[in-house]
Amino acid sequence: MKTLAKQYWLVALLLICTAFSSKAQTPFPNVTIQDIDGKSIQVKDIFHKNEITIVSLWATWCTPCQNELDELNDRDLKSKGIRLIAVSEDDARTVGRVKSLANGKSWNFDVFLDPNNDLKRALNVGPLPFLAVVKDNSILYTKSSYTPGSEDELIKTVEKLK
Amino acid sequence: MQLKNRHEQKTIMHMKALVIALTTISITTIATAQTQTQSQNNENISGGYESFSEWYQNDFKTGSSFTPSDARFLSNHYFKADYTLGRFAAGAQYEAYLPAPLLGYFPGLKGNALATYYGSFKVDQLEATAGYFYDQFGSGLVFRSWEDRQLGTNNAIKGVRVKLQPTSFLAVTALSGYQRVGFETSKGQINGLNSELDLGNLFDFADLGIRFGGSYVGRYIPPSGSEPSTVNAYSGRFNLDYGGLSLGAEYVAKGKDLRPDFSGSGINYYDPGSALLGTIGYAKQGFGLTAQYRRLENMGFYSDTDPNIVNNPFNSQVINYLPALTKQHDYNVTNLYRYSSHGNMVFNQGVFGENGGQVDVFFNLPKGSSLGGRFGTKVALNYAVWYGLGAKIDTASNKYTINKEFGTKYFQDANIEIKKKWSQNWSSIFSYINIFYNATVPGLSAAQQGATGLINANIFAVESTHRWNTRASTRLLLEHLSTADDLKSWASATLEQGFSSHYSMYVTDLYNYGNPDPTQRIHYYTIGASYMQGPTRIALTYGRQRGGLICSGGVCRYVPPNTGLNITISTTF
Repeated sequence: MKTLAKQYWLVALLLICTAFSSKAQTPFPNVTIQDIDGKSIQVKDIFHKNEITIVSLWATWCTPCQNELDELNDRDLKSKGIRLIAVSEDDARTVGRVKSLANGKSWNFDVFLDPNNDLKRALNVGPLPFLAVVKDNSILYTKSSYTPGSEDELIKTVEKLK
Repeated sequence: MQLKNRHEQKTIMHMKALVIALTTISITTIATAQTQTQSQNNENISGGYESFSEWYQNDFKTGSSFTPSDARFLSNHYFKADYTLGRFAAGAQYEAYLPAPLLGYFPGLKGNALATYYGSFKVDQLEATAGYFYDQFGSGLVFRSWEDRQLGTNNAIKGVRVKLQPTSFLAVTALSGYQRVGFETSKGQINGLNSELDLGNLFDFADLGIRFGGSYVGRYIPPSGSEPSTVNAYSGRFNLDYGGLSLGAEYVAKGKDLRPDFSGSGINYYDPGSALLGTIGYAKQGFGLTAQYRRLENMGFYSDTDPNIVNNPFNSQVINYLPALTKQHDYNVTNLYRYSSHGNMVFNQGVFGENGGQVDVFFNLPKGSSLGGRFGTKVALNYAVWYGLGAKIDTASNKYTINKEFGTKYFQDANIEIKKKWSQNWSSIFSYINIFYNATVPGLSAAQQGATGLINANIFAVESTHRWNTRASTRLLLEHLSTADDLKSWASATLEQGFSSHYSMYVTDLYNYGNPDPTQRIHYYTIGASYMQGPTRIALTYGRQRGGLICSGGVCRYVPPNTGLNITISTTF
């Protein structure tokens, strides 16, 4: 019982450490993912210098993820100088649907694949959807979950970060 | 007693090490944050925390009851921290199950421990990792180590891995180690070699992509009785893409491995296995099509030879990945009859591998067209059908021969989803799903936890979301499953209110109103609220969960019926 109490205290201590560990800028992890055709690519090679980029981690089975991407697709981010990248976290069960779905929805942004969730794990992401705003390989802002309307707030935030 | 003391000592050692590690991490994190601009970003610490906790209640309606000695509060906690310094990286994951894991998780996960840790070194062409790591060869048919906390699955390999990419067209991975089982490791050793050859890069083709892959995975267990000590599996595959067209295939051959017999004979049999996967697709702006075919025979591949781990509900000690190739629906009633894949031949359960496929079609009716309307319409069609292999069994020798490629029909799903945007602030999703589920096969019925007979069901769902302003929105979802079979018809409704990008609430109910037994016409209700701030999400729910399969990525685990208060927290730093 004493050991169990110590374990609860340890979890509480770790949680406090986690809560106070946030910091302004973190380098975006450079792991190997795949382009939409399954060809390996290093994450650092998908970013362009000085370009602010929204990286969305999504999946074909995640309805809020697709709703958020549909809305961002309708916002004409290119004219605002913002690039959007969607990294699919679908594994072997559903990864085959990604290219068809992205084309079928007429998405006009780049889609990549992370079939064994290496990027998701490197970013320590829990549930999807998850967004990171990245510039020059540094993470400037992150966001978990999607509620309708939050895409407009996101765009305002990104424009301030530019 | 000695064991218990040893375990306690180990726990205390882990805790001391963790306190030191965490204090160091916190100090270093603050220091890193303060000095980052000077250190040119070559040093970094990142991490995350995720937890699932539940306070369980007795519920006479669902039959979930707890004795006074049972723990009512159960919780799973995961802390992860990664440190990078130039080419070097190290990290660890601490897990605590207090006082025990949530219902349906692997019971061996009691207590706390530094569950996984690693160190790695990376130069341009070489990456070496020691400790726990995750990897996948090809589509995972021959090897996949992965983590899914919702499912309680963690098949990390503890050992050594070297990745080499000498040229832009060749990549090789070699690994050796033992699979994680709870807080321990497997008896079986896993050795693997994988190579990927990109001919498109080699010959600098502009529009044509051709890639070949080959893998070897071996499982070694010290010899015991008549069972093979080494089981070897080989995978060969190719992918071709040209313009919008793509084509891929993978074949896996596995040596003689355990074919379980649960008839009580106590005799185990050993047979070779095979898997074939084929994919074809075509995509252009506004249209996408994918078709997949897969055949599995004796493809269960485990890091132990204990027959009890075959189809174990915790996905423990599984070396390869055999997901159900069907659409992963995410509504309440669409998940009542889920299909899970069947890679093994288990005669007395009526399961004879699997043979079948699925087709997906996506298209967009453009904005301004007569059918698309002002804001466009998106359509998704999916059809999946799965059969067992037809087998002739010689009962005297317990041998079999395949005499029919498509034997008993297991499952069929035909569905359509239409997403229509009516205005800038109002959109709807309409879904129709027709399901056939064969619960007369004992192995499938068991997977579905008690479903009976041949089940034909029609499902309608309509979802509508209205945005009131840039912050508030309301979502209403109505679902209905009609069937004359099994537990008869179900209905469900969900109402969700978003107050801002930070707060939302929902209430949902799933009701088996057609159940022939009036006492089983139960409301499975849930009320929940969530708070989101940046990468942090805290969700609080109270309600009654129907027992059944929780699935993620095509792999499922069984969760008993339960009622109670649930708290989920996730954050990253």
